[in-house]
Amino acid sequence: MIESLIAALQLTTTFEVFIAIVIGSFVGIIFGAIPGLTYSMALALMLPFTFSMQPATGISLLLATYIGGMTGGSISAILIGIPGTPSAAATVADGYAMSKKGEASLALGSAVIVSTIGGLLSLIVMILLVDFISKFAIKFGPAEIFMLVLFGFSTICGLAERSLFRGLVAGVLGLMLMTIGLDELEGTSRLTFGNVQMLQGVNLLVAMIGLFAVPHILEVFHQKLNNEDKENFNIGDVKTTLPGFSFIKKYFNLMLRCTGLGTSIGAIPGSGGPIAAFLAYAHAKNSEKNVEERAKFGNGNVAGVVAPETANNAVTGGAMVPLLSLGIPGDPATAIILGGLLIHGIIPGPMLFIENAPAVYSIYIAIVFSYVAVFFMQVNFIKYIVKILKVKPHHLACGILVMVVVGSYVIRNSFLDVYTMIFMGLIGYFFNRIQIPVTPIVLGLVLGETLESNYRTAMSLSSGDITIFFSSVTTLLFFSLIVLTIALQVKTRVLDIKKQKTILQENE
Amino acid sequence: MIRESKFYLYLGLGVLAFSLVWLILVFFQIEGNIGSPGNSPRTVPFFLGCCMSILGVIFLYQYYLGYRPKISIKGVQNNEFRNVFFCIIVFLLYAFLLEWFGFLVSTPFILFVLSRFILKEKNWKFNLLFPVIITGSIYFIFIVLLHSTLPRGIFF
Repeated sequence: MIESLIAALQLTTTFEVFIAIVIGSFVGIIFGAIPGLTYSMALALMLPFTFSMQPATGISLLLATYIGGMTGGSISAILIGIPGTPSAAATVADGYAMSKKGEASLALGSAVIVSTIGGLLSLIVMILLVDFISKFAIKFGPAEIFMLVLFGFSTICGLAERSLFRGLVAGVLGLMLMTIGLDELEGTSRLTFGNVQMLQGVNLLVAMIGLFAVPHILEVFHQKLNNEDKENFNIGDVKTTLPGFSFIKKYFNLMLRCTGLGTSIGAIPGSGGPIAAFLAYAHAKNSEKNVEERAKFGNGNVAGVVAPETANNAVTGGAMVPLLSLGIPGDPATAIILGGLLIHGIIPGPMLFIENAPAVYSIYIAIVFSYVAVFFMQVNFIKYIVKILKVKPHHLACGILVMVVVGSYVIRNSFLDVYTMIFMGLIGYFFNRIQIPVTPIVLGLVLGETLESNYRTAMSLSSGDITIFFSSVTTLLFFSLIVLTIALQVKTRVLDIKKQKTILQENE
Repeated sequence: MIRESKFYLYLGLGVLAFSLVWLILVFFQIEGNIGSPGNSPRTVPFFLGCCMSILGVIFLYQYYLGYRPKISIKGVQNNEFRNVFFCIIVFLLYAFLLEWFGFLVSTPFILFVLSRFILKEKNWKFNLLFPVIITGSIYFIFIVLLHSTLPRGIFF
């Protein structure tokens, strides 16, 4: 372990990694802070840059972008009352109220310090859990892995958005896209229409760039062409005032509880920051015994900033647990990070600890460095960061347009990828309009190969006997969980419909 | 405009039509005589096509039962089709120009066209500097810093 740790330190304490973390944190904060841009988009745009980097540098860039994005969402939530990311939505109520009372500096300072503490505490939990789960998962055979991935997939489709079936449509579409190209097991072409370039299949990164970045560009240009320009945000000079030690002491208990909550929710594939932040906010409010303090929630109570910001940053550690231990990404951001890891030959899963332990420790160290960098930037450069909020969205969209086209090309030096990216962008835009989540498409593309290869390996091992998927306690457990997830979703939907009908009848 | 009550009808029909096209393609484009029926290159795509069909039928059944989406879907906005189509043309034009003229020629050109004629930016300094700065920055990052490649084009 010590040897791996030293090797990881050697990999991550280089000038290139330092620069990558600084740039990643900056880009993440900016994309997190600007409403409309997301850190998933930032990650998708940063991916092409990592190809020619060393693995540690590339992964550090992605992790810093992720962490910067998660933390940066609070800036616009506090200063203008619009959350930069969905995860920061719970911060708006009290953060913006503090701003209106002239306490923006304190709100920003509180947010940045609790974000860092929450993130670092969740890292500790993550290290312990990843190790434990990996030791357990290493005994899994193809049938168990198939069932596990299927469970992760059903959870993501079910929990990611409002409708299980719409989530499933997107998930199945992702799996379908994954099957296009060369079948690696038999070496035959699938749905390539005789095109040699199509044998490479739909590239995951190209799909992600298209799905996350293109719909935003289309939306911004559509608004601009319709002369529906959004007004620039009017933000005066701001600075970050860090609260004292007494503040940390006062809220440490709350931070610990919210970290636990955030990490646990983050570890469930398909949940994520917004759920954790709102639950933490509700918890902080309900657990406040002082009636006067409780009444202040929504009117500028600093605990209303502490709880959601701790929880949504703790999600980053939690989301890395299934990613590193099982190779299952929990949200779009970790799916993109998984794509980045795979490019550099780092295959997450239980074997990662045996085959490439320094890579795991490099990830841990990069997360710590990223939090330090984000903290430093938010404290010292906040007045410059908020200036970028004033850039017109259509100017940013022009830059992003060039980036997505060039980024898609450099992945495999193929123009077919550029056209695929545009096509995926159209799908993303259309799905956004009819409220079908795009995250399951990405997860279908990411998990599809594992799902199919393990299914076919298990079937080969059992000579075509499908009962292999129900022959062990583990597979049965995962199967029960899949059924339970779907049943819960269906039950919730049926109850919703009954409620709708009752309201309609009452109105009549 | 998508009427809420017809949402699941259109979705169901769309999903069903897509799955049928997919299943036809699976039979014509993938060899099925390799391996056992439960474990051939065609098995998973065929299974996925069936799943999609089932989802289409579920949506149609939801329509039959009078289900509505929990959150109403926004109707098509003014000029939305035209604007999105126009943006896609810009994307395709840029990709086409990159293929023929390379990065250094097509990027400043497309950014100038976007900024001056589509976004109707009147400040001429901005119109000239913006394309040059963006092109220069991307070139510097990819070529100088990352030693990567950018589209060269056939003519340049």
